Amino acid sequence: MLNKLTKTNFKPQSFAVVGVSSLLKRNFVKYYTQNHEWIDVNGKETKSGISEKAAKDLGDIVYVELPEVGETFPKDETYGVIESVKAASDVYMPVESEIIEVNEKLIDDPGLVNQSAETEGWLIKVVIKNHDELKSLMNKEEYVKFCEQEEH
Amino acid sequence: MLSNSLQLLGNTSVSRFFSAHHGPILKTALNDLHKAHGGKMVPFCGWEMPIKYNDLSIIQSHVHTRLYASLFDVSHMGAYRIYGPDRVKFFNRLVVADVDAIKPWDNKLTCFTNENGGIIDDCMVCNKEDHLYLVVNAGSQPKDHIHITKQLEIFKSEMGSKYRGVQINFIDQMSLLAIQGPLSQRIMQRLTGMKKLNKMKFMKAAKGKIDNVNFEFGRWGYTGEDGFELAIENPKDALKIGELLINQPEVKFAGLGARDSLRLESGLCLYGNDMTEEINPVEASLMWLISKKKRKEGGFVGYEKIKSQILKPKSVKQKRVGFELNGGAPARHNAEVYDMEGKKIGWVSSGGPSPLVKKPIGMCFVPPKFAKLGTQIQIKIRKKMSTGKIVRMPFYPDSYYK
Repeated sequence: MLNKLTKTNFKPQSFAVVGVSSLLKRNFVKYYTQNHEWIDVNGKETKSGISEKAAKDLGDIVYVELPEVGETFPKDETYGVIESVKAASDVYMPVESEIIEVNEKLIDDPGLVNQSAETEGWLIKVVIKNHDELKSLMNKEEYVKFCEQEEH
Repeated sequence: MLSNSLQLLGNTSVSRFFSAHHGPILKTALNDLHKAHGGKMVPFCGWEMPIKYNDLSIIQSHVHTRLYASLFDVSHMGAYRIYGPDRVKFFNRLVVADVDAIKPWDNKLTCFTNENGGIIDDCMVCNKEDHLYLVVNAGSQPKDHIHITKQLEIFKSEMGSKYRGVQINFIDQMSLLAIQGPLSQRIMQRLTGMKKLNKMKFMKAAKGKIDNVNFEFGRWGYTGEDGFELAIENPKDALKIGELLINQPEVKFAGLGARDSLRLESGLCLYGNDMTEEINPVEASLMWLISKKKRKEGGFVGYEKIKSQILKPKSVKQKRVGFELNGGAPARHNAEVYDMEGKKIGWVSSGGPSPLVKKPIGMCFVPPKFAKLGTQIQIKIRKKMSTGKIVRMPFYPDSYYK
């Protein structure tokens, strides 16, 4: 498809070519793991955190321990810890990724994870190293079903 | 071991003791009410208890208690009535308080000691004129019972023909409801019609009546706030009073989660964490529990073993103190305490976040030379050192009605 575009007289503006190539890799999908994390695949803005359900189950979050920028974690490895009033819970990496940013707001306001676990309360921004691993994750519908089954 | 224990249980409800360790989970009289109010039930010492309720987070419940009033169902605790002409003489041997000095309808916080002077359990003893009313922790209650009955056998044989009688009655169906918070008096006045409640001081007990239900109650609790603990023997009556209390506009249900964060913030010990059979009252910084008379003369189990520490408190190897961390994650039970040079000096007995102090707080055991207020310490949390200092307890000021 890219070849066809460059062989015609049509001279697309450079940003459109870049846009198309990244379009091929991108999929605006939010995936969920069995450990109740989510990863929102969105190019350089790919973020990950814990699900609303996980945040609700944990109760008041009083402290969030986040990793160093630049570190790479394999799938299912612990990259951080979330402390609630009663206990500390590990957070696991959904797919192999490198940390490019951590949510600094959580240092002063760990409760942000309770308020908005799947948007404002994101934990890390990453660059995915192994896209194939996304295949083993669930979409929203599958995750909701998974949660219902877990209750029983 | 089990059959020996059962033999010593005597005329008490065997089913409850059995259940606590081996049988089906026990439920309080308010079990359905908790569930109807969104209680998140968890197993605790053989009982199904609410850790929190759906409407409030643990921190919200904690703050609600300090500002308004919360209702706690603490019926899992063990309640006894001890009768008989020798009850005071007998019971006085088991605890570090002067049981003979407790005035009628006065209550005392005290503890049972083992033959090494270690703490078997902390408990509340109230002089109810013709009997002693005793409340013990849920988790320790089976072992407390075995201890009391064993000591009674020893007492009987020592007294010989002079023995006049002690009757230990375990009140199996007792419900204990605690209303805690600054608005507690107002709520109790409204429900009981007792206008003179403003004259009832902290650690005093009295008889009350709500909606034709008679009960006994005391002005105490485990939150650091003003409040009352109601003792209701009939489960149906307990449910009725529970419903009346929760329907008061100021009151919200609170569970075990808030109960723990409140007591920690108020510097109150938790048996199993801050007090164990291996820790004596001097080490636990609970010297004040031992009466002045008993410090000099003894007269309780294990006195000889800890006499030297009572007379020279600084000779203990470890002492319970409060700490506050500068920030970061809370320190938890068994976390290691270090000095600023990186040498291990002690351990954390209780720890958690403090909603009102807004820093991680807790209690730890360190050698006396590190126990001075302001001493800088480090606590290892997940392989990293977190800095803090020794501080005074309570971490948040208490509001006992004195």
